[in-house]
Amino acid sequence: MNSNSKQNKSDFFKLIVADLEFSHCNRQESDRYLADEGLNRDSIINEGMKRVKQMRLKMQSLKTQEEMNSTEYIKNKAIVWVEDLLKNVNFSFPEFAISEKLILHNRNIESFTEEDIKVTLVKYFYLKFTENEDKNVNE
Amino acid sequence: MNEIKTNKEWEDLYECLYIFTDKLLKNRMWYKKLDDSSFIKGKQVHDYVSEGIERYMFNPEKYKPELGSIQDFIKFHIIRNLVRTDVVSSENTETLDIYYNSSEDESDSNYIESLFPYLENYFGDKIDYETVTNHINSEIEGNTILEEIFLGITSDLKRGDIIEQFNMSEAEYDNGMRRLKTVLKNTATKFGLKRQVI
Repeated sequence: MNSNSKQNKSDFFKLIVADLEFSHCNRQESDRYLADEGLNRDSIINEGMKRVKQMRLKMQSLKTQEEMNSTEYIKNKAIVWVEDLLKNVNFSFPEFAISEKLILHNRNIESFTEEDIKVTLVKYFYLKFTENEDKNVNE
Repeated sequence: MNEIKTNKEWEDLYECLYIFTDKLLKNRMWYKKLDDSSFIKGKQVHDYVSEGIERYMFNPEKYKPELGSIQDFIKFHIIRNLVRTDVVSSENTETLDIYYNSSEDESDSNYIESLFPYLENYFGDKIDYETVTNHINSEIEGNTILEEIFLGITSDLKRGDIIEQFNMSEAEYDNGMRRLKTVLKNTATKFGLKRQVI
């Protein structure tokens, strides 16, 4: 097909699409079509909006599920991270608390049990991973 | 419009899409119609429209504003869905020979141009588009409004742009489009074109 023929074909299709466009999104033409076909606008819109609402709810539910899955994933990641960290013989919780400025709620660091240390670190890394996740999403 | 926010916007969009799809289905462009209200697999017009909207709603990142409006994006997916799933359905015994090339869907053509391969399938490859287009040109010759609308459409201008560019009123445009529609219809009859959407 030469370029002239391609142009003619493209022009023809553009006219067809413009005609389709004109026929259903122009108020007067829409009204005419609905009347000719015996269709009721209110009933179409009511059913349509019902479906749109259902889709929005479904989407919201999926989003919530994704957020929950993401929260659970980050929490598990923080736990594994902390467990590995605590296995490291060179790791010192007091030094870590000072260098990372951990909030210890006025508790004496010496009073921390092994479980307290783990809980504090998991909280710290959970927040850190969540921040990183948010940063990645926003980028 | 890059995002649909208000209920009114959703209602207008839904109505446009419904009429678009109803017209496609009733004119049996790519599938076998079973009865007045349901089509392949018992689907109704609302089902096709909902599937198109769902495609946009659940995959908003797939919509690229630079390729066209949200409405164009959804229309493209309604047609693609019709062709991909319904035409090849065993229920459809009338148009099983249809061909589509999925790689064309992934191109960066705008959404309207992405419809062209599907239209081409519908019209077939034996049409002499040059003769057809020349005939349309000769039919509108001398009618300034029609000539301007034709020029605007083939230059990818939208309704508002054509009205502004050629300084015509909305009524002049709408009347011109109705006249152009008649020209297209007569052209289709004269050349025995398969399409029935006009």
